[in-house]
Amino acid sequence: MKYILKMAFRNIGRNKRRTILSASAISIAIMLVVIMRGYIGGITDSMFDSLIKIETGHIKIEHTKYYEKEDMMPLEYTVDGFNREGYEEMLPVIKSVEGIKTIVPRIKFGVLLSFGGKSMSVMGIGVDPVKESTITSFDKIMVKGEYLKADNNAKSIIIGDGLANKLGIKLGEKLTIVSRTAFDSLKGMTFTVTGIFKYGISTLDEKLFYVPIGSAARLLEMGDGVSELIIMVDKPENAEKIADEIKGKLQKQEKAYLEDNSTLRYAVIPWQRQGGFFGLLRTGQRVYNYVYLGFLILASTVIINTTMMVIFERTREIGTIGALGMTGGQIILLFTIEAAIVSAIGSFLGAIVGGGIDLLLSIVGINIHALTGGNMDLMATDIIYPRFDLLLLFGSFLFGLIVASAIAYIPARRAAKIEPVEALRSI
Amino acid sequence: MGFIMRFAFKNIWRYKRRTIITFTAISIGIVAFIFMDSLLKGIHYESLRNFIDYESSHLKIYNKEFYKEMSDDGFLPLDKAIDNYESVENLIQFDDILVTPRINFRSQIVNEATNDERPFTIVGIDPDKDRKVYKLPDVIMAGRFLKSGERGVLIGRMSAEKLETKLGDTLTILTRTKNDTYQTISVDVVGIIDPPNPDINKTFAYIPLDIADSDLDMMGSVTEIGIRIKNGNESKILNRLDGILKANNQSQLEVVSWKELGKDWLTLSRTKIAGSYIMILVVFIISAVGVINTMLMSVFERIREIGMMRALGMRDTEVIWSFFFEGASIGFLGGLIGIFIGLLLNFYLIYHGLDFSYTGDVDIGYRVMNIVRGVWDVGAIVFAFVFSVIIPALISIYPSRKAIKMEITQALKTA
Repeated sequence: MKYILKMAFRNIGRNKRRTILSASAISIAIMLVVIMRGYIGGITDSMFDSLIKIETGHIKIEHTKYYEKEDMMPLEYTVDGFNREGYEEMLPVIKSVEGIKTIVPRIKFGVLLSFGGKSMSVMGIGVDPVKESTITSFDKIMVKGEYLKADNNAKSIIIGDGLANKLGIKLGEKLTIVSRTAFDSLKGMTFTVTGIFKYGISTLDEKLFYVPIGSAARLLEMGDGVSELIIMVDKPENAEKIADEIKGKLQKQEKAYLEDNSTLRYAVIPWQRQGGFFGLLRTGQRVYNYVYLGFLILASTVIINTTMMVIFERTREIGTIGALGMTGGQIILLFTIEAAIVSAIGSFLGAIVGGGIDLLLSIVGINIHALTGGNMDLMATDIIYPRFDLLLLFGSFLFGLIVASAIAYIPARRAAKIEPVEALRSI
Repeated sequence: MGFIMRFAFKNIWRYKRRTIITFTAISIGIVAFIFMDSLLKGIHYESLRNFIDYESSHLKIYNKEFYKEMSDDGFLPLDKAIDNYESVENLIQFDDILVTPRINFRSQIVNEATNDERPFTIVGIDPDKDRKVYKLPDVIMAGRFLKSGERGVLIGRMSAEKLETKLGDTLTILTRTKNDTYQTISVDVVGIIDPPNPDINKTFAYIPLDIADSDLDMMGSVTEIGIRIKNGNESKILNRLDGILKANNQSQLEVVSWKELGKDWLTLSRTKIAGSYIMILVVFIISAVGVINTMLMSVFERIREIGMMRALGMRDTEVIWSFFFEGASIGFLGGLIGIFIGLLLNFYLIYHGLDFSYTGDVDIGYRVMNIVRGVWDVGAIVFAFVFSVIIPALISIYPSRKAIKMEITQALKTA
């Protein structure tokens, strides 16, 4: 056994060109697999990340009627406690569930924003400036001015840079928002633009603004209610379990007030059960997974090809060692070990180089916008940061190693079966 | 030269196993390339086709003021419609195009049974003309297409689900007329359509043009004229229409192409295409690596043979040419088979499509839903074929040149 291992190593060193060729084919294949996975992962990560931060949170609590008509943002269905005493009454109950990081209230409303004779139909979000900043680090996305001050009733507004450009509005200018209230009347309120942000997602930057939640509540006559509570948890994968727990606790509290009505007024939706955009992302991911699968197959054919070629070209050599008395089993073992060593070297280099490129790009980013002049939608940012993942590197390394060693068995077995005389005759 | 070619060809058959390996490398590379290219481009073209077939047609005629308000603010001001449609239609009739009028207006649709109410864009269509320009009849999943003069409505499957309505139900359309007075129109659901564009599926409904005309006090005016080009060049026809309108004192009207109408999401699409090209490029690289590698190896392994050929008096250039032809012919054959299999797969992709549907309804941002179909991309197929011949042929030069630089005796000694 030890002898065969030694022989395998010597064989590899003996024909350097062959070793280099097959190792480099394997390493390029593995490198591209790593880069491709990183790129695809980067796109989907970016989409999921912005969707969770802006749309769904890990868990979302809404009035059930609101949830049914979510796309229309009906203001009359609010989250406002168990007996209309305000959403804040619910917070201790929710917080008593373990694993929750933050609970953030939001008021969402659609308005036609007019400025200087131009109008745009946009979406406003009333936020608690301090709590909201625990989800999104606004410091990083503000391009002009500042994020909202820690005052829930300030008359300040921050808007997306695409929206600012389209309306032609600048920092410090005043903007009057006229909206339908929860009681279906019209009400206006004037805000000062104190900041302009840029998510790098054109659909958001052209359609979104933030105002302090207290001002939003007064503008929309929401009282102590909010449209939704966004909950972030410590471990996103546990969101479903935590949501069920929250639901149970809410239901228990609510029953104390409502004897006749047994159905819960609130929907508690973990991100895993979100439809809409999430469904769309899952389909997107599926498409990408197919592409990746096709790519893996292609990469393995490259590896299979070189490995088979290397062994078939050496039929004569196999004949020689067979004639010298090596058994079939030993020959198969020898060639499999050789393939394993070469592919280990190739896969290792490929994983390292691919991982290095991924790491570099995950810091620098690929600016799709600069490359093409267009924008990504689908909630992906203009700059894609490929995913860097050690597990992926290790997985790709194993993939190369296993494919090559497993496939080496086939030609080696065939070659070992041939009579030495036959094998020696072949070129 | 004839001898060298014959010689190269004989060599191919002599080493069947080696040929087969190189050959599979080439054909698998080509199959993968054609397939990926078709799939990724298919997503894009499908969305273009859907946009034209269900939304924009090729060209549209609008009143300039209407178009401005529509594109700036999303309003559909009925008082800025195209007056006296019939006379305009008579002006622009010629053989290369099909024309249909539409009245688009915003409304709420109320389902009286559930008291559910949702905003919709309603389109008044001329059933006979419309089916020649747009493809709504192709996507009827229940019921039938509209008939002129009936109080019927076609709605999308997704909006039917949201409104909790079904075939035969009565819906009420709440809207304002051209004179800005309130109007309600009662209509029966005569058909449920399932258009691939989620926007239309969710928020559009169709009623007969004559009903829209009378109930909205349109007096023969329409908001837009859709034009499908049967044959001829789009920009030429656009100019011709523009000329006709100007010459007949209709300069308040404007002809707009679908590219202009869809420019927002066309830029989005371009980026997605760029993203796809990155993937197609990677597929190309890895296929090329596979081919290059097997080719290099198969020539390097034959240094001994090259030594023998030279010992027997073959000139250096002849050796190089023979390997060049060998590479080219393996590439040619591998390319042919690759294209053949690629085309078969592509047939499946185009006529059957890949079903990506997850649970429930999803759209993937592109204007397609769930089933993705491929396209015939002749350019990519030719490109792949040319490269499948060129790469192995060119790559063979490097190792064979190295081999002829060796001393013959040295070459013969190589294992």
